[in-house]
Amino acid sequence: MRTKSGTKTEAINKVRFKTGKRKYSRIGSILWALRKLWRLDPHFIFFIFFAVPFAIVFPLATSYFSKVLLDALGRGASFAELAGIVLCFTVGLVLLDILRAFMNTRCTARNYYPTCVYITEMMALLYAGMDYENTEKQDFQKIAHYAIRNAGSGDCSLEFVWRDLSGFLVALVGIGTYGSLLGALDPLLFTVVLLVSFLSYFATRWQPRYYEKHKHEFEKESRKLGYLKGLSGDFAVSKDIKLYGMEPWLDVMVEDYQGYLRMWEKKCSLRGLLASILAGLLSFVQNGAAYIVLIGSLLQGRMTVGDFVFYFGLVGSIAGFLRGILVNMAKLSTRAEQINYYRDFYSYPNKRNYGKGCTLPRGKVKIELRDVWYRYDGAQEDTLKGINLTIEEGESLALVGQNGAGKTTLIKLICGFYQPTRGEILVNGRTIEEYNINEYYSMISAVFQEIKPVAFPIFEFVASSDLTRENAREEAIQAMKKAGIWEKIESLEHGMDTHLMKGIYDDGVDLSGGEMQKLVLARAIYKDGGILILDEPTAALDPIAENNLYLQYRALTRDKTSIYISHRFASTRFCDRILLLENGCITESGTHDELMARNGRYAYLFGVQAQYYKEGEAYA
Amino acid sequence: MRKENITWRSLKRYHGYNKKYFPLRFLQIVFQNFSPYFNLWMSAEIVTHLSQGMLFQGEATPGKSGDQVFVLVVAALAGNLLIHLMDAALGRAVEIELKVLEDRESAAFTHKTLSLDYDKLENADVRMLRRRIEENSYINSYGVKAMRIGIEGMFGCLINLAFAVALFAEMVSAVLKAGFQVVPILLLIGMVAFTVISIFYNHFTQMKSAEADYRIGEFMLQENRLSEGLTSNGLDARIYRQQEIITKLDNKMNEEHFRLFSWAWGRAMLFTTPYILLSEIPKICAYLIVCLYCSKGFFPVGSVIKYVGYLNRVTGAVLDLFSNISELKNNERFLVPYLEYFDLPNEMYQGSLAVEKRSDKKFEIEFKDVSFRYAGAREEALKHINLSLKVGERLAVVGRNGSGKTTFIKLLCRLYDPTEGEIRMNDFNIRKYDYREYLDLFSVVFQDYTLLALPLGNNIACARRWDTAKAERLIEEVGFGKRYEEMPEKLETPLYKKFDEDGVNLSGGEAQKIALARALYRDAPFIILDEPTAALDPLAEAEIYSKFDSIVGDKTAIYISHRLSSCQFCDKIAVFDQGQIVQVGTHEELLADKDGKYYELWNAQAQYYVNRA
Repeated sequence: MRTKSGTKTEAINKVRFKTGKRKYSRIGSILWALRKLWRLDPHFIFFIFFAVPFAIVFPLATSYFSKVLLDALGRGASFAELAGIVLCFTVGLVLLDILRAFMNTRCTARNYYPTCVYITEMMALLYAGMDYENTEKQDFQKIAHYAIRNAGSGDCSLEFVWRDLSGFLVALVGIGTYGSLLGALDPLLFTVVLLVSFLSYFATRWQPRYYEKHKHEFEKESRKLGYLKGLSGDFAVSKDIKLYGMEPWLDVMVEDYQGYLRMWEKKCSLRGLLASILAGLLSFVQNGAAYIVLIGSLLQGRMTVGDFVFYFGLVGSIAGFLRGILVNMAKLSTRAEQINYYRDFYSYPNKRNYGKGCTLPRGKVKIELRDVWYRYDGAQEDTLKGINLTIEEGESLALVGQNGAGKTTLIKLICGFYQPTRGEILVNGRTIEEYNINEYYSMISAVFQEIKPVAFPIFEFVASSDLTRENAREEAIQAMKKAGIWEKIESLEHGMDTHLMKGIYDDGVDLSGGEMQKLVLARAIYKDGGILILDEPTAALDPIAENNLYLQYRALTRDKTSIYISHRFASTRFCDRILLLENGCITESGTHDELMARNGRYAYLFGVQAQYYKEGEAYA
Repeated sequence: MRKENITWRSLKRYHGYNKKYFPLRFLQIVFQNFSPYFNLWMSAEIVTHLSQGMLFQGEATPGKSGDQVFVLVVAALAGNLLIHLMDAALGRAVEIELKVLEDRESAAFTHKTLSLDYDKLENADVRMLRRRIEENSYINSYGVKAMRIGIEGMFGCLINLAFAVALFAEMVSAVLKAGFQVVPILLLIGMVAFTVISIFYNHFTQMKSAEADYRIGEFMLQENRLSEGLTSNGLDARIYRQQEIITKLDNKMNEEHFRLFSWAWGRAMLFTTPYILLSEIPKICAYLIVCLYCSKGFFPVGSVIKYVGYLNRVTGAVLDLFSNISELKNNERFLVPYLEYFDLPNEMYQGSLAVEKRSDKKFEIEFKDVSFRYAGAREEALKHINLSLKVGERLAVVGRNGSGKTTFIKLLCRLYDPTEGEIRMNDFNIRKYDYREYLDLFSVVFQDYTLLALPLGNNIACARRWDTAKAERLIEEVGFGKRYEEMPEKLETPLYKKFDEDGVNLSGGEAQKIALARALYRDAPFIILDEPTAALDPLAEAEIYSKFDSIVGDKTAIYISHRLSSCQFCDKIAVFDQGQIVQVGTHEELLADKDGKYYELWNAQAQYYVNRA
């Protein structure tokens, strides 16, 4: 159901991602970032230009003030005239200053707002707005890593590019105006100043360049040190560190890495010192030249003492502006490179359908896998190899097999997280791409192995799939009762309005592994989707809690198409059909009794687990 | 903690990490602050001499004035170069010494955390304290770093003031020398008065802005914490629409961010405008005084540059001094957690009795009426536990989630001391033994064990070096051998990617096997396994079971598991229920009691594995 233009952009994207050449021009990337800023808040574009007149006029007016005053004193002006000059200039400058301060506060008040919005936007995209499969691809992970790290660094290129652009403009206009003033006086002096500033800029680049060049030699160590320091902040690790007496060893390791990194820092800072000495000498030359030229023309009577002070000030400013041009150009170029990561992030091609999809099936769901193959990005081997499987409406299926057999991959394909590398998955006769992917997700109730608490109130955590349901709270309680966690939740001070995660909310609660497992089960029960998927839902539960789930399993899966994955063969008894997955293929299929009678691999695995229980006459 | 001591105490601790840093830095500050005075003074002299040269130009003596100007220019250039070089050289030394100081400081912080008593590590308040310190420094840059910057700033201001006051005095005496005149004296008084007023005004606004800073700081802490708490995983975010809620909350937060910043900066502007006006008045006064005296010929022309420049620096220095003081004061609030953290005492009795090094591993443990309650908990986690454990015995501990099994282990390992009763080893209370030596008796694999992202060898040996043969033998024994063969660097292979990008990722089962090998490498007389096969599939599980006896050897073993089938290997099973031991016995004995807890637990699992036919 993809639109024509959608296909076209996808084709373009494909080409772009394949070629891997420089995809964006620097100016194009900067303009892209500015367009984003403009859409968010047009003020920023105005800020770029507003700084220019202030940065040019303010210092010029200040120097001119000194010049006028000195000249007036030189020609022996009266006190009244002097006082007039002082008042005119100071009042003018103060007004300018207030205006500048006013604009500055407007600017500063908006600091980081775009960063926050962009991060929210990117997270929404990452966690719900793009194909899940993309987020596991290596090239995307690299893009996302750089983009998110840059956004979170406090110097988000997507926002702060305007500052560098503004600084660049200021310097450019500054060189133009100040340069033409000085150039008119003495072109040679202007040339000397430019030359010296160039040299001095390249001297200051020495240290950073040395750093960049050798970065690869110590960047790894720096990362390692960061990890070691972080260890002590991780209280879970500190338990094992304590028990196994690792403290002295870790202390020594930290010191070693610190020492090694300090050695590099010394090397870098030596370059910095030398560059700084060179810069001092250069500024000696520049100021010396300025003195010679200016005092020369003064003595020849071509300028007044006031002019002397004025032009001497210009020399310093021009050096600053030239530096500003070079520094900001380098910065803008880095910005453009960083912005490229954002552009890649925002435009990473999706395969799923986010537009209008066909109508969701009502009632029971039938799932059909036709010759489905799947290979993870960058993997050498297929994880699933030609799976053919039909799960009938309302059927309850068990999936067993060893670690790494492909069970979890299979359910992620059915959930619509992955796109088969080959073959297709039909849900009630339609491929998953024909449905709007978010509508498709709404049919699925799933418990995955990986459990991540989110700092929601418990009620919202359980009912997030549909908060607007009429009896939402009542149904959430019912679901928690079924999952066997309500007793615990009820005993909390704020009941199910208690927030999860104690570290975030002081009155929050941290549930144990077993309790969290019950809570995510409650969430799946609440959602009540047509497809129920449980992946190892009892790993952290005690035998009695585990048994409680088994006893309810029939009731839970009534009218649903369900898949149950477990290492515990006890669970397979409640399913209509059991699939044994080995090495990415379905090797056996049937009911427990059928498979036991067949006396194949399933029977063997069952026997391995059952042997310890069978001994003695446990069952009465 | 006495309040006025906080900055001083922190400073002393901080200075103690590297005593070379502050003296060098202070020297650098002296040079840095000397530079502007030198330049103002030199340019004033040059301008004065030049304008004198201009006056005499018509006459026949330009030479003398020209020579003087030449000398002055050379002196200015050379002086500047010298100051610059000194500053650069000191700057490098300061940079390096600071790095040393900060390294030692952060190492001390790490060390402190690692050496805390276990109950402190688990304590929510202690965790919060550490978290606050980190949040303060990373998000709001308050804490020791802010203290250092504040102290340096204050020192700079004082140096500045010392220079400025000396030169300011020169101006006042010049004014007075010129004789008593009403206008300049009034201007002088006006200058001083408005300087003082603007300083006080600024101090007042500083306090106001500190309040806004505090609100912003608190907001940013909250923002940061929430963004940590509101991170889902890609699966749940999609299936359970969590991201919709998260985005909604984030957007609300962003709007609040914008409102708060607009408010704070709007207020700041309101306060700044009068200050810009107020602080301009002393400058105007200074200009007028100098102009007056220059026009009458009392002051040389260059003094316009000099005196107005001085005045700017004096007011600047005083203002900075005040703002530094209030910043330092503001920062004290953030130093309190820092000091508190380092002051945290280790209260656990360390003991002194040497643990006998017994080659026969003959250690006997006895729990005598032991009860335990977690700090702040309403109910006891363990109630009146009596149990004895003989050398070489295999004990299984079973029970429902939350019945006290793990707490029992933690008491045994002395991660906590009992609230009541005592635990004895070979007839002595375990508290009497040297703590480290006692801990070394145990190899524990907890349910929430963690491997470090360091090389495999380090992980198994828990030390810098390892015995390759021994490590490889254990790897084979725990069933990790096949994967180990595939590892490129063998024992040098880093685990996971956090420490080294070339590290290898492990599945839950593989990690569990390594944790087991780590426990065995220690060769401690007691081995304790808390759910060691939870992440393993049936075959791997069976493999571990079948080797269990040979793995454990002659050690005393304690085994916690939800899979009761594994308890049959044990000589004795203790059944925990609600903090109490309700049954002790062998598998057969316990199973015979059909009303017992063990029977209930066993049957819940076993029923599915026994043929009904």
